[in-house]
Amino acid sequence: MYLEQNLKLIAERWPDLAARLRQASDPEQVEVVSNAPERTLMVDGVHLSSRYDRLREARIQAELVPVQSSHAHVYGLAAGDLPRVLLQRPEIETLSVVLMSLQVAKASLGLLDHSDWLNDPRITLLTAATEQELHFPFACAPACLYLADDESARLRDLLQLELATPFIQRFHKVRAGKYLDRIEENKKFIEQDAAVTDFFTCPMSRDMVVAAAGPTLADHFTWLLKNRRQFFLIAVDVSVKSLLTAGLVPDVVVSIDASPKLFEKAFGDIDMQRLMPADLVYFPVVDKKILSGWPGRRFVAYGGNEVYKQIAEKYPGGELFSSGSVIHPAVDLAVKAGAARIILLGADFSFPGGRSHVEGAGVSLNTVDTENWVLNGKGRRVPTTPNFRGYLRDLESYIARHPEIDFINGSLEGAKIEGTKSLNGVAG
Amino acid sequence: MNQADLRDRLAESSRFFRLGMEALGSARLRRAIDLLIVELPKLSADQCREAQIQLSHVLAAQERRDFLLVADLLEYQIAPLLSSSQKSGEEG
Repeated sequence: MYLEQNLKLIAERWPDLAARLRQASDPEQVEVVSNAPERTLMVDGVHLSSRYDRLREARIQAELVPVQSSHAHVYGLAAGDLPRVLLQRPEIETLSVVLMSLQVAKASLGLLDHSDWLNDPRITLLTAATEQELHFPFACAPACLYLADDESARLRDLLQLELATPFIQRFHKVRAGKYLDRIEENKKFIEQDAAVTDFFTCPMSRDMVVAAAGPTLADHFTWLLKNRRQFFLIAVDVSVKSLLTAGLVPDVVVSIDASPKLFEKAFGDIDMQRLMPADLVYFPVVDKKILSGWPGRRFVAYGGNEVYKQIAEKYPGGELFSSGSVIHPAVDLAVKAGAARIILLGADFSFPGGRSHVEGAGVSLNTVDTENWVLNGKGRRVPTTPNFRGYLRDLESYIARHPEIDFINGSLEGAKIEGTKSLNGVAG
Repeated sequence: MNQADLRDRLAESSRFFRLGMEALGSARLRRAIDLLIVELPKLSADQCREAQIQLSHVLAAQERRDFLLVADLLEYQIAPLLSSSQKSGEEG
């Protein structure tokens, strides 16, 4: 109904985008919602906007952009209300609207009139093809995040991570008391153990392997066994059982999680003496049983969390990057210990083959949430969880800050990790 | 806790969903449902039935990640039931 009119306006300023929109296929299900106070669209079972008061909803969403802002980004076209509302502000000089799905945008452009705001010279229309990083300040049409296309997957994850930050901060604040109790319980270990900085001054190897606990770790056991002496092997705690079963003893094990059952899950039924040659790098909130049961050397490290501030002042131990996943400090340890090349094995951040963890890990997530996905190394969607996606994007940001390191991803089946090369030709 | 608190939770939950903050929205929604269950016996039979129907719509919409519909249902279907219930209580 409105497609030609809307596309004509787009073609005048962004002819390539208009051509891409014209070629885009239609979503599986598009329904015009007309039996409600407001006309809107439902795409693949998701409403693009409120059925009751679209502009009020857009005003709420626009609150994320400070009133004095002269520029803002809007992620998601939806019904066009968010750009419409932001353009009412005289302070806005430029407004970039990023389409999160060409299919959804085409459906909206076809069934709703967008000419009022598309005509505004302050508008720039973009896609994730050129917009891979998040820009601030921003507001978003949340439905377009859930309906994002493959091209927009990384941007969607960065947005959702940013939008979840207040929740994550609140989560940690609520748990701060428990963390402090743990630190108190572990104080005698923290007092006597060496600092992780000892690793920083004494480079172990230029080539390091970080063994995470994703299902594809098992694909590399044969290669690891064959080449074990060529690499310094850093393992995350929940991968240890599987590594030992395969006959692989890591050089370092990293453990950071305050989970009360972690010792039982990660080390519960193994002979701890087998880990005698392995060093433990830990955050002070880990289960005390891991520290008391560790047969070899222990090294304390701190994450950036405020909860470590006081103890780190008393017992300086060195900081490792941490943003929720134990893979983060394991990788940071490798970087700070002088690695030139880091091979990530089992860093899947997804459920390749329907599994969350490598076989025998002692940990597994029961449900495979098919609503959440990431693209794997083959460009296919694989199921994941919002947490895994957040950890992945934070690791990618970390990798982008270390262009001096050669990062290699072991598997094409797990999530594609931006900034890494494929392992093909290095190992099999 | 009373109906005013419940209405606040519903409004907060709805606002977070509209902003795309689904984790915060879901956390508020869980609390709101706990409060709503306590308040249900205080509603009229019709209101109680309607609230239960709308709640089932909320859960179905949440399941398919239609969070803007969740926000609409909380704000425009469930919250008004509580307002009218309070009014009838005050008048009665």
